[in-house]
Amino acid sequence: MAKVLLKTNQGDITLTLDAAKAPKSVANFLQYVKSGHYDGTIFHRVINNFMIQGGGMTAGLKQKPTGAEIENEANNGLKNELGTVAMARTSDPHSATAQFFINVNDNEFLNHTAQNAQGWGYAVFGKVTEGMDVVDTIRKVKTGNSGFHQDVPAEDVVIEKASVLEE
Amino acid sequence: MIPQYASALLISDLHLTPSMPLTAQRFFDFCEKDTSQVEAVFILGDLFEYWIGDDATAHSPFQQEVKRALANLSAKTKTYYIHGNRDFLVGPAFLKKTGMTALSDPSLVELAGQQYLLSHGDALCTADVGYQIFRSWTRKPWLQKGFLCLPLAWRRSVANHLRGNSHAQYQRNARASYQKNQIKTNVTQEACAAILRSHSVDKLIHGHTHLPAHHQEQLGEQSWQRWVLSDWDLDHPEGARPRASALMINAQGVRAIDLIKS
Repeated sequence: MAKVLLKTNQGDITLTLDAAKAPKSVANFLQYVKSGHYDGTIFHRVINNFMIQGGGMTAGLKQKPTGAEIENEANNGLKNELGTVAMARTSDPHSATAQFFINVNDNEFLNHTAQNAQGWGYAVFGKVTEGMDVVDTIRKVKTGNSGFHQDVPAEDVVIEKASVLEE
Repeated sequence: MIPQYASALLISDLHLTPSMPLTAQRFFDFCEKDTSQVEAVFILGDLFEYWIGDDATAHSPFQQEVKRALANLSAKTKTYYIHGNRDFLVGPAFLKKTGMTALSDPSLVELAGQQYLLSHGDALCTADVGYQIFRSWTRKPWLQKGFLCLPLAWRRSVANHLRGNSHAQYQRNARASYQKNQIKTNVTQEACAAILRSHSVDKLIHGHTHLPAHHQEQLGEQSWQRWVLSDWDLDHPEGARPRASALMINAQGVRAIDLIKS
């Protein structure tokens, strides 16, 4: 199984990716890792009992350019459980690009229930296998509103470097 | 006689529509599972995103499901309903079908030995003069009766128009002045003080503002506690913080229950 290391300013997080169940999401994620896209991005949306989301913006909430939108693989049977990583998206089910989130709760309501706009859910493609304590630290950081964004950490939580450990 | 119960759950502002199935599902589960420990359930308005008459969607599958959930709930737990600003047209036919008892806004209740004044809350937003004028018109029985006589398609278009206006205004306000908008769409201390004084009570529970909190407030000599219920939304996690909660009142006091985790 592919493994990715996220070196953050709060510590290291290792993600183990499930290419068997979420081939497109994993390939997409690995591509962003290899191209250096995630280096310098922040966790810009942190909600303590829900999830921590990042990978799309740099400090100051500047959106980074991304590649094409990918197909939503939420119907792969993987559930949005504590410690899993899933693709973030807009209200369009098939609109994920680079942003991802780590569930810090069992978020059953994010799971796939039907093949329509309301029921598609969020595609889980891996889980945190090391550094859950770091995720715990991040989910508890102080947050506030910034411009039109809510739940933004008061002090930047930065992914300094993302790298592929195993493929 | 004011309603008296040893324990109760209070919810509001679910804004149920067929387009928010996850929120609706959580509500169905709430009716079935979360209410077994209490003697009464109070729904403080805006259970529905909009309501244009009991006849409007009486046979839609969604409406049938909501009715079934409410009827099952009220069969085992006494269930009260206060009208909100979006579903103030919920009428006797719907209440009868679901077995709920309507309460006027505001209403005094006694829960676990303490008196609370319950309200939806929109009437307390007295800084929003335009809305209060609109509200006074829409609550006139003769006008409501007239509206309910209109063909469904007309009613639907009026409702969509009003919802569209409200959304557009909200967005304009949000852009123009977040701060000012917060004041205008929140309850005023003066209105809370007056309504509590007239009922000789010092505890107020309301919804409407979507700003869940427990406040200790004071105006002049008068002081009171105010609990604000949370709205529910599990269907837009990509943009909005998912939320579904209730206020539990029993011998242990008042506490907010997060229904997402449970």
